[in-house]
Amino acid sequence: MADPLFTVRDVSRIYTMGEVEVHALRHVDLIVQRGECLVILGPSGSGKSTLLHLLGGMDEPTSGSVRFRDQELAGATGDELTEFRRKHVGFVFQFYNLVPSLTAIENVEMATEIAPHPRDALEMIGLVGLGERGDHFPSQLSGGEQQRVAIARAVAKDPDVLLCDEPTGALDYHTGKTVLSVLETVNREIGTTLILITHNAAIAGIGDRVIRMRSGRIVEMTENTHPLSPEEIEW
Amino acid sequence: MVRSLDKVLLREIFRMKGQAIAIALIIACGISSFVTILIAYRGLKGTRDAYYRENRMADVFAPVKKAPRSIARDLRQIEGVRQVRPRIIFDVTIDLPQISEPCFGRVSSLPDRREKVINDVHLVSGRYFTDDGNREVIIGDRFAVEHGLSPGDSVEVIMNNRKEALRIVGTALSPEFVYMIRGAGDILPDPVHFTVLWMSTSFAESVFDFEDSANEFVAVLDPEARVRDVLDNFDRILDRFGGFVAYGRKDQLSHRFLSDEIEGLKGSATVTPAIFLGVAAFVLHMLLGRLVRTQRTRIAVFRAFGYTTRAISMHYLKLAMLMGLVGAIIGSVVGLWFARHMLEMYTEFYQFPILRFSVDPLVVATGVLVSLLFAALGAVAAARKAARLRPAEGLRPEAPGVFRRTAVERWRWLWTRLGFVWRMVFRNIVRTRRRAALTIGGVALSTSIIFLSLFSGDSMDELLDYEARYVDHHDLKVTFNSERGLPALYEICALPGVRSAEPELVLGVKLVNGYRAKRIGIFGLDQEGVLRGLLDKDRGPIEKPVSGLLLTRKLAELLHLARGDEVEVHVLEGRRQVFTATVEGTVDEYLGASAYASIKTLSRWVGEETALNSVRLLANPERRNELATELKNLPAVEGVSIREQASKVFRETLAASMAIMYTVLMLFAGVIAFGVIYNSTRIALAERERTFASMRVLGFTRKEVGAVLTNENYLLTIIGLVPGIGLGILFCFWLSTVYDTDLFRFPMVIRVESILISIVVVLFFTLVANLAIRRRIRRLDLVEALKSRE
Repeated sequence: MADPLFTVRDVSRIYTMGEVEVHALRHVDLIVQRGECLVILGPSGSGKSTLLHLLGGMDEPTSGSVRFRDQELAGATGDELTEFRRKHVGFVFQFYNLVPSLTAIENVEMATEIAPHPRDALEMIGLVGLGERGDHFPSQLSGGEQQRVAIARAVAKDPDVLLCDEPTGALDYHTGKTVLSVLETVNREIGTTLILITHNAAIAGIGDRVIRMRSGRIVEMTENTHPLSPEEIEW
Repeated sequence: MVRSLDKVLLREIFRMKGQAIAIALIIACGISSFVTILIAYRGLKGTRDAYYRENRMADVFAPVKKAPRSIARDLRQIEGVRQVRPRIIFDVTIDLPQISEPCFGRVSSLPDRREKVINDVHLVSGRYFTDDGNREVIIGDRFAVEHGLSPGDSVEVIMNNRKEALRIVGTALSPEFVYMIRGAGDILPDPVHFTVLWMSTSFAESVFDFEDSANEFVAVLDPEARVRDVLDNFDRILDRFGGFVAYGRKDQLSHRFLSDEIEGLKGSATVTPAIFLGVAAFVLHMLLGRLVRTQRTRIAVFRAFGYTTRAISMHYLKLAMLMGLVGAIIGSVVGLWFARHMLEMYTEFYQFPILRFSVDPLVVATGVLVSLLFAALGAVAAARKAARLRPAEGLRPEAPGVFRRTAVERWRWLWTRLGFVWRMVFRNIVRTRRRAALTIGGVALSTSIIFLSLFSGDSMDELLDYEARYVDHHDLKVTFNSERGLPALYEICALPGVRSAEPELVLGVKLVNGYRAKRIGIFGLDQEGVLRGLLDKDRGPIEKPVSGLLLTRKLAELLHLARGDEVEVHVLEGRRQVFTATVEGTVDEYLGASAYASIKTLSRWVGEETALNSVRLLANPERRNELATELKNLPAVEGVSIREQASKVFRETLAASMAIMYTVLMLFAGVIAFGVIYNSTRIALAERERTFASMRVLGFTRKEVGAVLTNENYLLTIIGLVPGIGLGILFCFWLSTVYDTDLFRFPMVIRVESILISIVVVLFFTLVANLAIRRRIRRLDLVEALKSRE
């Protein structure tokens, strides 16, 4: 059963902002198992985004080790990190970040062009329930629809892990739930490891495991023996 | 209150220093060309005017065969004439032992004692004539320098059929020979082979058997005198002495070349800077438009604090004007430096005692003012937009970009084969049409400037090539000092190395068609001759004239004559008769404005069976030097020109002056191409930073992300090349129209090599801009860009 995807050991991340040092992460240890749904919960400034960026190979720790399977990410070169993101990571942003000049389907296709074993773009658009709207530009889609396209785009590469940074943060209640359902589908049906950060405690209910962060530290870790489905949670 | 906005201003400039510098550089190009041209213009004109004043440059030149000096008194009585000086002018051959080819001198007499005369010399070294001015000569300073001659040395001169050794007493310059050119038909000065020899009047009188006589009268007029009337009166009085028709200063050769240059400078002083400043204003307009869009929130905050709309608009105006000011300062410094070099370059062609370079504060101040004006012009729209923004409106995020399908997508076959990068490129070009148009325009302008700079060289090459291939087939051309008969031709034929020779008779005439008249030289050609080609506009050979005249196209235009028309020919030599001749057709030539007739016709006009005053000949290449030496010792020979050598000098002189022009124009073209592309790409990058950062997060490499921008630039560059070449060709047409004078015309020639070079150079500039952009993409902060919208 133990099949760690990420192994984080004693990781600290210090930013220097002008003359001030900000300790974003302090001596964090974490193991992420393949296929699990991990929710990282915490208020803003707790270090959850920093942790996500380190796992996604977008940032490097000041000290400590971040391993993806056998690959050490701390100290990897820019090109190696790009390669890592390209092959293994799908990313869902709070503000969707679709390419505005490409249609929904083209946004998904864009990801398939760089992946070694991509999934079918049309199928992915269908999976997120937007089969009819693939020809629309982002400016013609609602926020929820844009986020679903973003998920389709992230999944189309067939990544090992899907990193979601406040995926419902910019959405209303109902749309947020729809998006979470889509993410749940991806996790349960395709088996993609899901790491989701949020400050919304209610969402924690859908995770297999939940870690709470405060001031750059993991302060609590709970395992949900019975994760809730998105329909069941309320906020 | 304003102080904190000013702080923001400085920081903003610093943050976008790359773009600010690019804009400042475009402005600097405009201002530097403005300052260079204007300072050079004022320098050249000021120097010329002062030099003319100082040395009393003549207003009227009246050559005659031979007239008593005392006629000067009659001439002085003419209304408007202030002063008249008789003088003796003769063309002679100079024999310098160190070079095989002959050199030519124009003897010009000066008073025995130094006095303030018309067309006075400016002594550079040595002194004026002694009391016994015999065998003393003052020579052109440049010629002396070229041949290492100085006062005290002597030169051998063949004058009036005698070889004499003359002692150099001084070297000098003259306002008549600022442009040291021998005669019409020459374009470039040849200070190595041609000089003026000044002699005392009494010495010249004795050498040329001209006691108390002169063959030219020069005069200075009252400023308000009517030149036309004065010239008519000169002609009337001098007619019986074999007057060759007096001419005014505006037709004096050196003055014409100099004045054409000065007028040309004046003309380009406004056009060139306006182009650059226009481009700069446009780029500024784009940049500040983007800045206001991305700074909506900040503007709203300032407005909410209570800053006035005036302060906000002033902020953006100041931002632009600061760039304008920096550009103007760089431009002025560079412009002054250029102007100095340009004036130095002019001394290569124009011989002045000193070429005055002065930093004219008025010119610099105007430059600064104009650049501020253009900068403000570029900022007006942004400033107004900023002022109009309501605080509440600005605090809401701007709506996302709306994209549409493009025309390219109609070709499904092509579209489906394009990767997402090209799809993004096409859609973005269509969305940001105006910015794309600016880039295309900048590229086009840059291409056309490069093409134009190459064209001037191509055109010169073409001209020389044309002359060599179609017009002048001779190796040497010998000119006699007076008309000769056939024996002179036979004599030349007998010289060593001569393979064939053809006679030619050049006659000074005035062609008159109604009220239109033009003084020209008619070339009388041998009917069977092959050494002088005549061509029509399609370069097809034209039969040599039989009884009538062939006119160059330009001359026919000037006189409003066409094939079949009749024209009055006033012969200005011999018995000075008037004939009527039929125009048999026109010929196309690039140099001079002349007419052609059969040598028989011309001989008849001067009352001879066969007369000639020059011979074209082909020579054995290995005996050419020997031949040249023989020729320069023939007393009757007034001039020898070696075609190969003349075109070599021409090419070299031109290449030297053009090298500088090439460099400057290429630099300017580069600044425009780079400045426009870099700026619009930086704007695109700023607008789409988030998209690019997201792509990087998704695993796209820097190169792939960069391709979205760089491919767009390459595509726009390629699109811009087409109108660029078109515009360049238009510029060339324009240039060849402007320079379509009776002295000289630019052949219109479009070389594929030049088109290719222009394309390669512009693509190189695009590459440089793209590399600069790559650097920015490498520095893209992934995390920062994803956090939130501004």
